[in-house]
Amino acid sequence: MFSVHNLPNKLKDEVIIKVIRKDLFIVVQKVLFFILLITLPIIFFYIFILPNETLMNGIASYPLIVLGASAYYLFIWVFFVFSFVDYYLDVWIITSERIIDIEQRGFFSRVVSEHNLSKVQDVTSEVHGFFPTILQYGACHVQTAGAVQRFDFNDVPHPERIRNLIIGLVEKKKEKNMHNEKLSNE
Amino acid sequence: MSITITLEFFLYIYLAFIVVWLIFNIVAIYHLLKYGFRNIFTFFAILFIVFCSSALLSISGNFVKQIDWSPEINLLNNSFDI
Repeated sequence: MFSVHNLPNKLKDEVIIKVIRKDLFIVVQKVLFFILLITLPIIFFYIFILPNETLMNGIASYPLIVLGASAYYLFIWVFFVFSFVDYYLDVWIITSERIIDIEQRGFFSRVVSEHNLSKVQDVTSEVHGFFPTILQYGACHVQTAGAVQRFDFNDVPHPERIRNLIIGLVEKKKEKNMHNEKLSNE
Repeated sequence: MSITITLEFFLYIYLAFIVVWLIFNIVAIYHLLKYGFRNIFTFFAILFIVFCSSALLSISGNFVKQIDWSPEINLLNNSFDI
């Protein structure tokens, strides 16, 4: 199990500054969609199937309705569970030394990548659309000189604060590196 | 010519689906255990998933148990007795 106190490949003097997940509105959207998927078949059942006595009392139709409804709701549940797992395990960790992107992709795929703060060249934040503007969530893009050149924080709360935080950390890191170089030259 | 199958055939398909469903649930919990944060929220999330999955499975099981799966249905003679 992952612990914020036990980072993968933790560097010396590394401190976790911020752990970021997607905005809660994304979860609310998923829950609303889930509720819609639950209620629509119930409405359909009460309007079209329940009044039809031959369907409800049939030798084959009733068992098939039970199996179909059961399979549908079990599938919806597992779909919701994986939506939650996808949300919960997708994290960006900003530390004093690097940015770590942990991404859960579907059922059996997981990608962990990281960028050293000293390689960050440009940080941009974006907020587009009605809900993102009102609820203050959006994207933050980090351009680096590394192998993976662009890092995207999508649907994160307060992207401009994250941008300012990263810029501040990058400047601190550069000052620290310059100071260390001076010391080593002396 | 007639091809008859018992309703049990659909039950076996359903049981195969349940096996796959259980595997996906286990994979989800495994992901949370292995990659989730070690905190109280993860613990309760796993507990909630296990509880809801068990409840859903138990409710489904109760409905399925009450049905007589022995009747045969004829696929070709259009005598699909609903």
